[in-house]
Amino acid sequence: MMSNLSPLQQINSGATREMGQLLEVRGLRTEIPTRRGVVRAVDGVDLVLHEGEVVGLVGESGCGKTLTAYSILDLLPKPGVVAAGEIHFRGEDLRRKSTEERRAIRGNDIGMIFQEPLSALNPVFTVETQIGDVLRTHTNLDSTAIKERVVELLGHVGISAPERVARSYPFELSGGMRQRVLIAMAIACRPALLIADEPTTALDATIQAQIMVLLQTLVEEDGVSILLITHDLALVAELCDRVYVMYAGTVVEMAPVEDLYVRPRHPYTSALFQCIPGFQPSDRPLAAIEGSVPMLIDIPPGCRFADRCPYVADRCRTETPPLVDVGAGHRAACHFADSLDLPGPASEQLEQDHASAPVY
Amino acid sequence: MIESISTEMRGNPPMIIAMAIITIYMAIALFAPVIAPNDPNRQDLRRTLEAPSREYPLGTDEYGRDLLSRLVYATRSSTVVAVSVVVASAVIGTALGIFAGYRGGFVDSLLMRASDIMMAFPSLVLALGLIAAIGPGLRGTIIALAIAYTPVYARIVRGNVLSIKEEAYIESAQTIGVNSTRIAVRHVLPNVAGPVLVQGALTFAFAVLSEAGLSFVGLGVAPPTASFGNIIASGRDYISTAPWISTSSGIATVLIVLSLLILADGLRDALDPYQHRF
Amino acid sequence: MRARFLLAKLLWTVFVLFGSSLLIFGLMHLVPGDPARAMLGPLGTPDAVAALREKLGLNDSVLKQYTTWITHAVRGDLGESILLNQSVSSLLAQRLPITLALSFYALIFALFVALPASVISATRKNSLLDYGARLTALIGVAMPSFWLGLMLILLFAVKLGVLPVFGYVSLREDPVDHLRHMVLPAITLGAAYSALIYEMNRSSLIEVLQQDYIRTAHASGIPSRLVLFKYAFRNALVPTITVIGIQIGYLMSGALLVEAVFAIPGMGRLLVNGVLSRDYPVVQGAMLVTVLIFVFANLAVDMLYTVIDPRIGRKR
Repeated sequence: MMSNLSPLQQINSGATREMGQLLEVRGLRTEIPTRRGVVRAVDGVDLVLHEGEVVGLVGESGCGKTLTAYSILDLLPKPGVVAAGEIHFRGEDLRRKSTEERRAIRGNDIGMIFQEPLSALNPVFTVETQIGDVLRTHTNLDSTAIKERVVELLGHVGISAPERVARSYPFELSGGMRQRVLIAMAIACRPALLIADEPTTALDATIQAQIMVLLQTLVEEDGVSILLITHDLALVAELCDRVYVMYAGTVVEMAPVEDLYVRPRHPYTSALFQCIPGFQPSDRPLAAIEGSVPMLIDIPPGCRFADRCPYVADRCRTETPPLVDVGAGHRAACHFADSLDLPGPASEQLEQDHASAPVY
Repeated sequence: MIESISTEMRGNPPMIIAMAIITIYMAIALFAPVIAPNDPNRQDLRRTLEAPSREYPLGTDEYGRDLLSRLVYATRSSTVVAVSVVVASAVIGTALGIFAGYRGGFVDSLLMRASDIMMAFPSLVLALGLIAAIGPGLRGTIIALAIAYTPVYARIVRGNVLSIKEEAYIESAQTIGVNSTRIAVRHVLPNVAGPVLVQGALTFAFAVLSEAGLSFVGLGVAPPTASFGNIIASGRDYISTAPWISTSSGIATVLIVLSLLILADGLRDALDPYQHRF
Repeated sequence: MRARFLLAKLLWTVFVLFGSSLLIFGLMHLVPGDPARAMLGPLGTPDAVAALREKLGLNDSVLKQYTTWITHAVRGDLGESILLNQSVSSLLAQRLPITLALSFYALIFALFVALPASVISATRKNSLLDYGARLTALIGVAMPSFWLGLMLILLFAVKLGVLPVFGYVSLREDPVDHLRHMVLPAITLGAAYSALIYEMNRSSLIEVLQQDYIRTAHASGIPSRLVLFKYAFRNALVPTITVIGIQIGYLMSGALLVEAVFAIPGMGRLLVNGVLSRDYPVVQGAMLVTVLIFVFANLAVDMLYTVIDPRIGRKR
């Protein structure tokens, strides 16, 4: 079971973890009380993000990836609560901070962009007002400076007529334009971390590609770190350095993006790959994962993926697999992580995709 | 439908209480002669404006009439008006709505524009205008309120018919050659029953209030026949010396109207297919 | 685009006014038998009936009668009150301002209560406070306004003796006394209206608070107070204003009854007395004015929409 890492590799991975660590989540547990019982939507998630790094958080809808982000930002919708765990941002535990202190961090140190760019913007205020309010909240700029900064920001996110867009209402803008506006709003105060929740899902293919390029630019030029939340492993391949795969509220696999694509170690990750049109071997039909995510109330012991796993064994139903090292910076929560030879996209194919930017 | 209503009631105690109050109220109306301890119109001028006592639990009015008995009969007047109004406006409105929705075209536009115009009047003002034409009293009140509330049903039903018309099962029924009256009865009525029921509870509530209001200003149920409105009106002149006259009738009105509003709310929740519950 | 939206609304207004005038005129002809006879009652001599028929133009064709009535009405001539021997327009000129003042105070009271209450309820959804407020609102709608008026009289005027019981004092005569006389009627008239506004604004705010753009505002660190009062409130206001506009009719209906309780000589009383005494020109005039108010209130609401919500009347 113990990995075949060399001592040097272990030291290296440990060292990077300490240097420039921006965000560290430990043992995060987020609960939602309902009539039928307490739902453990996020159950013991550990997550690390370094400065300048782009980390993917991948999984089906309902796996807890978005709630993990909301837990970090103190944005959980009622009646959800963070029940346990630590959330260190720049070395400080956010959970020990007051509501007011955490509010001041949002939009200033951590920005967030959302899935639906139309509904995420307030319909009755102009772009200028909405971005301006973020600046007014976190800076002491006067109104002329704010106006200038808004136009500058809009230009920065690749909007060609920033003055006009600043005076527009969201309904007057196209989907891609709105997403750019949202990104401008999220980076208005030059945050160190950007949490992007399915930033391109609602957009059509060409616009998706443009937004991905924009995010890439922000990482390279502004040194922003990104936590990219998505169900789409193709996006992760393009942008991310490392990936966390979540299933039913837990992290089932984490790995540097290349390792994950060469050899996924968890059957769920492998199944996710097979759902992507570009990635599955061409002789096989496009797969869908059978079954659905289990209800997260009174979870029985054992692997949560057992009911849907094609490799399931008796042991999987009685014993919860721990998240263990399976390679350099590569961890998986499967009893058979070492023995299974799971299909992932071929390494050559990955190289091609990575080189020729968008896969769409 | 009955199933979803009973499911709703199980999880909604206020609705059960409301139903109980409505049932009691209907029973009082139905069995008024048995329940009322005295003749509601028997005057006793030696015992006027008496405060509630053992003999007269709600006191007496300016003619020495037993207020409890008058309240029982007022419940009857109120029910007669409200039930007649609800039934008449619901039946006529539903029929017009189905007709307009099915026919479409000119008939539909005409009926809908007519309803727009009627709805430009506050319903009580429209009822007042109608009473001016028909003449005041119980009959005038019923007719006026029934006409005033009809457009709402017509609009609700028409809207439903239009959406049902689009749906496949009606199209198939039409191609098989079922005549349109049968389509209306077999397919449309069960579908509009829910919204009409909700509106029925609301109309009931507003009819009780409107009848009370019209009787209060002397245009509804005419004395000596008792009604909530005219009892409160007669109490107005004695508000400083005999406040109990107006108080009990007012409370009775609030209770029944409140129950009907709660019922309407509960029915809406029970019958709304788009309602999501966690 | 917006001009077209408002033009369409204006045309609609004209149509409704025309239709209403037909309805109001038609009501007089719905009267079974001879309206002149009905007005004069059993005491009317045949001569008097004939004279009244002549005066009302009942011998002309229905079309001619309507055109005569409506052309006069447009010029402000609504005929003569049969009972009061005064022109209907001058009667309305005396009575309408009183009803408008009463409605205005009732509106102010209603907003003053409903808006803060709805904010409290929406932000503390399903709390005890919210339940209490909702029950109060439900009772507010269920209560006959005239009865509430009597109970307020009983409490404030009779028991506490702090406010006058009945009557009306004009603003010009004595502003303070005017307001003192208006307090109870305004509360009485505004109560149910307030409950309706509260209900609408509460549910609308709850809906808005769940929207993505509210989450965006929170995610941007905008202070909660600003999110609530700037970002949420303005969006929530659109449906609320619709209710305020549509339920202006509620105020007009309510005024009929509230004026009777407090012996306020407003248009409501004029209308009720007109119906009681079958004074048709007065009934027609008062109904016409009521529709005018309703229709123009809604036109005002439509214009207000375009100010509050930039999307209305404009397409991308």
